[in-house]
Amino acid sequence: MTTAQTGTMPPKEGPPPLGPRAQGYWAKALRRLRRNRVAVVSGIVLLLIFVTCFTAWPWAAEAYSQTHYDKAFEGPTWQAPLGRDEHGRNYLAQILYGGRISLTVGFLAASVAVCIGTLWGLVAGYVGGRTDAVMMRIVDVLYSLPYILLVVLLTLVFGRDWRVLFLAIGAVSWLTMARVIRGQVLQLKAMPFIEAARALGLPTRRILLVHMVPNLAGPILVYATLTVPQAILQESFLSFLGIGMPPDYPTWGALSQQVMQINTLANDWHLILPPCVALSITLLALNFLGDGLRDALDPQGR
Amino acid sequence: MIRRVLALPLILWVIYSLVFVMVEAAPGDPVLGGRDRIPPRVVLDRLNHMYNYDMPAVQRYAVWLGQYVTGDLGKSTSYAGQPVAQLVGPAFARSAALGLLALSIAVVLGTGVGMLAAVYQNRWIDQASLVPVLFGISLPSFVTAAILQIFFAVLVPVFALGGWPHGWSEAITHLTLPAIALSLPILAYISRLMRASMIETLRLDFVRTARAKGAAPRQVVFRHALRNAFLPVLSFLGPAAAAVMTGSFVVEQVFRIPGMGDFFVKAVLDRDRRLVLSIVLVYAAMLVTFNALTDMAYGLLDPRIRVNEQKGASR
Repeated sequence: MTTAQTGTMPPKEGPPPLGPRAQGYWAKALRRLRRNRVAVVSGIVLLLIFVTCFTAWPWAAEAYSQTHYDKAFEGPTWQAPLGRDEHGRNYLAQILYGGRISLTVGFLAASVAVCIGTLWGLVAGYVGGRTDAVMMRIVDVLYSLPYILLVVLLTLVFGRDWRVLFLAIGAVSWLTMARVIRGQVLQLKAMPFIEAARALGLPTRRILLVHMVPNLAGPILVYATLTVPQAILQESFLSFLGIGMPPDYPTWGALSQQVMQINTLANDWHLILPPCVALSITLLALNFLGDGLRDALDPQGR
Repeated sequence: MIRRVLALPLILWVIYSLVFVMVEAAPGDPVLGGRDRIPPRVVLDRLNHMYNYDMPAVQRYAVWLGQYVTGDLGKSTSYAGQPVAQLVGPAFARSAALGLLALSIAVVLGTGVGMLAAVYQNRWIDQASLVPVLFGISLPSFVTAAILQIFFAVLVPVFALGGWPHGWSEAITHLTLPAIALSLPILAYISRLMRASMIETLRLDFVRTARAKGAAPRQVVFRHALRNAFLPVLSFLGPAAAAVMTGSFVVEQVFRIPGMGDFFVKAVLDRDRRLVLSIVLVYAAMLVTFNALTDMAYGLLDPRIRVNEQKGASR
């Protein structure tokens, strides 16, 4: 900064003048994000949900699968603040453990989607030409496919297992990611620094991974955040159809499906709200945080 | 456009190959699936012959492909050899009717809500428009479906609890709740999309021109801005149709509607390869056609394309 100013200003002694600090992309984005109150609250809520689910500290003493048939359908007590289900299992422990699974599946599936989508978009955008046309045509076609059928088929081929589940969900959720990344790559490709890198004769792989990917971190982060709730929802759909997680895993989707029955409403209303509320708060918070990140990181994008 | 029509069989062939490989790779015997007892050897041989399972997979691939080309969806192993077309035909019609109804509700209401929210930006109408959005994005449709059921069929018994209507007179009572439950997530997305696009459009020069020449506010929104603002919604219709299909599997279960969801899940669990293949292909064909249609509509609706055409015609 000082060197730029020497031409126009008389040289000064001592420390350089305190102008507005030059701010990087991430610092500016963080400032914009911090001003977005909804996004900040969502982030804090998510953090709380995470910590609670993954530590489950006060209720870890009782396993979620521990049955107490003498206490079936018991109302809220100190030991089980959300009551007990038809097998007398601690409902809060189940919710917390279920959250752990739902969140894990959501995040792992989103990571798979991010990896595939980023690579696909990178290659399509950078190589361009006919490769690009064919790759994006494939995305167009997959977009209009009944993806749930593909997930079901994948779980059928590879068996019912939680690893298969997140891989399958990830394998069908990368399409938006690929489109966004390709768009960004097309923009970046025209920038001087990429041109310079190419003129220097750097190998393509190095240009992509070292020069492109760091500049794509913003959109990747945004769409990763927005893919997580999608993945959680898809897992709950599969649980509902009876082809999701194996039956002894109390995911939020599975729990809210189990309690959504008329007789539960009449007799055991306390079982209905917790899984639905946990699921919807998490989904909302993830969506709001994703929107906030998008506004902060990608000002010109929509 | 012609290229689109030509691409349809190609796309379907790729999907057929992909799904064929997947169902062939799936463990479990297709002829034994869904049967309680193992039939005697002689019967088993005849069954394998009947369903083309006595030939190598490559040959089976070709035979079935040939049948699909002539429009033959094959026979179902888990439903005692019934032709798939006859078997799933009625269920498909029910699912398609419900899906179309839900999609129309989502488009009409979503566009309306989004327009209102954009025109009355930051006023109470805008905030109120968030309510369906929150429900739509934050709850899986089986939960909203059950909530609707509990409130409007049990506590206040206005609508039917479930089942497919017998005749037109029952259509409203039986289809309202499932259609709403199915349309809610899509409605939420469309209304957000419409709001953003309308706000942007209302700032454009041609809208300002329309205002400046003295057009009534209502006319500016409906005659001038709507067509332009609707374009993003139109390009979302393809994915929306796919989402309706997914959702209908779930909503049909909650409302006990005998649709395609049951068939597909059961076919998968019974390893009924031909039924799975046919269902996926029928859905894919439908969705790809639908996508091509929305693309064509895009050309019709986009004012820039229209203007260019008119210029070309006048010359």
